[in-house]
Amino acid sequence: MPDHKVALVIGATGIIGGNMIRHLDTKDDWQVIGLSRRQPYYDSGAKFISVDLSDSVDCQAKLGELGHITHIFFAGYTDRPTWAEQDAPNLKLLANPMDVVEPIATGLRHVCLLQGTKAYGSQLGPFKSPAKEIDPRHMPPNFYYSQQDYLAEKSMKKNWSWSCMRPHAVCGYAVGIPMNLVSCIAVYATISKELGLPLRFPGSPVTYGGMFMATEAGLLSRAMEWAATTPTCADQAFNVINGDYVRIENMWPKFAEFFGLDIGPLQSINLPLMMADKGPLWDEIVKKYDLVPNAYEDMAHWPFAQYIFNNEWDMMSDATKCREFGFLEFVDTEQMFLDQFAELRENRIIP
Amino acid sequence: MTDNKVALVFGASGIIGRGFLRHLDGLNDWDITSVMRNPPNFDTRAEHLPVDLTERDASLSGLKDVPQVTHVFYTAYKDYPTWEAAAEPNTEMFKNAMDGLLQNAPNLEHVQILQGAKYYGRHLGPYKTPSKEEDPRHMPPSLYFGQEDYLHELQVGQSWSWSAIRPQAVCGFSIGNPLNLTSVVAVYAAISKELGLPLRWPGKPEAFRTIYQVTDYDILGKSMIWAATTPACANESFNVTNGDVFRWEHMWDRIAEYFDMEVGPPQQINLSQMMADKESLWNDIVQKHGLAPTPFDKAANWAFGDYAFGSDWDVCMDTTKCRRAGFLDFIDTEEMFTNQFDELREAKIIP
Repeated sequence: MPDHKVALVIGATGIIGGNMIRHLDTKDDWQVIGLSRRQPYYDSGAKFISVDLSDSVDCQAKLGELGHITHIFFAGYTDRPTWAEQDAPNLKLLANPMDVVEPIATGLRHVCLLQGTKAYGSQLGPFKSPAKEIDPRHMPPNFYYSQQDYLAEKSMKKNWSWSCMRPHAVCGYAVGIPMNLVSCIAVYATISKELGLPLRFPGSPVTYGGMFMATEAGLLSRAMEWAATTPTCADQAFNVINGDYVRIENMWPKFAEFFGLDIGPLQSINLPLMMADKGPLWDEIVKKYDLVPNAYEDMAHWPFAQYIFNNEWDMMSDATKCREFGFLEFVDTEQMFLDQFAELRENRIIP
Repeated sequence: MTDNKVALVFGASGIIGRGFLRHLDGLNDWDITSVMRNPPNFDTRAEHLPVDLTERDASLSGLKDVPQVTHVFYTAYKDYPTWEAAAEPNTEMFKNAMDGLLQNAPNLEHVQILQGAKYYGRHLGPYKTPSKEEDPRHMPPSLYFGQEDYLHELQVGQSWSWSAIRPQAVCGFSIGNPLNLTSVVAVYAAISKELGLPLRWPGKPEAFRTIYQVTDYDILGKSMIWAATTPACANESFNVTNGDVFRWEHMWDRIAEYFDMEVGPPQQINLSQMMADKESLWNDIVQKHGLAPTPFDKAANWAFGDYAFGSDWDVCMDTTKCRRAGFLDFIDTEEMFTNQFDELREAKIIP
């Protein structure tokens, strides 16, 4: 008899949670429950509960029947203008459902927390890279630390363990998830083409030539399942990346080729400002090429692209630890982008 | 045991060939013949075939009687004042080896050549990194190109296959083989310590911070066997490294800790010049600490240190190709240095 497991995936309509549910759907030994505010955009055998995680009363009302869950995957996130302001609301996002579910889920075995390279201060400025899991923390606050400390404390003397996943720039199938580098680049290229422009890198010259890395969502899902079910991973953090490092300047010509564009010299622009008026153009493109209608603001989150394209320091974490613990999957990042652009095209999301 | 594979290893006195012999020595399903000018000065079960590859006639006559050979590993290299000057004579040596061997090689299955990051122009100046196997060549000449082209030409229409392995800065425990970063660092540290100096970075200041990577000789040995015996690797090139990348500025702290030294601020020195007068000091160290006597010129190759510590550009190869083809060995580079320093200490090569 296979070991039956019940997963609670928190943040079910995000790029990470959504891909995790789609992954677990393919496994016979997992039953899945997804939590999110929105309805899922994908077909799934999972049960979905619509709940406002920031509201402890709503969590109490809707999550009281989840005593049978065995594993929790937490990929929830709520945005705030500053890092300091993000701390308390994001901790509540984890603590509210945990406070309801953990006391009743007597068979709980593991809570897997999604973090990222920001655990190393990658968003603050130049940091020590490649970053390792044992590197000291940056000056707080950082809601990753608050969440991790919360789990570490709560799991003491309990039968469940925790793990932290630290991917970078997660890329994968998602609809209406604009914080996704693949769709940001695809929309930027599509609009450039429609305007008769070559494909110009819109960020900083230093970023163009700097080191970058990414995490394919499918690889991340498999790593999450692995960490949650491998006893030696208990109470450990893991960098989870494709395994290679890339420079955007090396990939950009391949991207231009994919979109049938000439490659132009770099032109730094402020994407949020410059792309603000392109909604009507996007709608015309959708009509002209008979695309599946997607709202412009659901396609690309320009402040996110602006952030990614202007980090003027190498973005690298070291993946040796998860390899040593037994996770041995690798993805070619350049090919990943090309495959995912192709998937967007096949699904008629882009021309 | 007639089913045994029979390896013919050219250049077994170098760090790669010698590390590889050590690796093969432990594999029961291999018989080994090593080709060198002089008999090996270390223990090995390999049969020794004395051939001077720089002599064409001697090569043709010396290599015509090894029909049992199934796998050729070509690691021979003859040093010249410049890499460019080394191209033609080293290509001729390879031709002599292959022409000699192919006179009578009915059982030949595979020929493997050893290359390195210089294939990508790592030694010339800033270049495209991380380098991938399919990247275009730099401006010739290069002995790698000459050998590779000849090998491709020979293999057309043959039943045997080839592979090319590209490590970066091969590191291993070796005695009397100074072309090895582990020895350079260990002896530099021992001399600094004896003089009461802190461990200072002797290379270019920028090279302290750029990205670097190395290949452990055990990893390399395993990859060589893997590529030579895996059908899917036929006629392919593979980058092979430890799997991680690092910056010396971080590694240096660990190295100082190992040797129980303080880290000093970087102080660029030309090692070749600065170490020229340290022979008597080295001999004093050997005596004082009861070490196994190693002649100073066999203890560390300072020109190699100047070269390895002088890249003020990132040096790094992409290893996704070998991972996706199934080679999954890796080692944390910090751990590799520590292990190899331990070996040097145990063998009483360093204090």
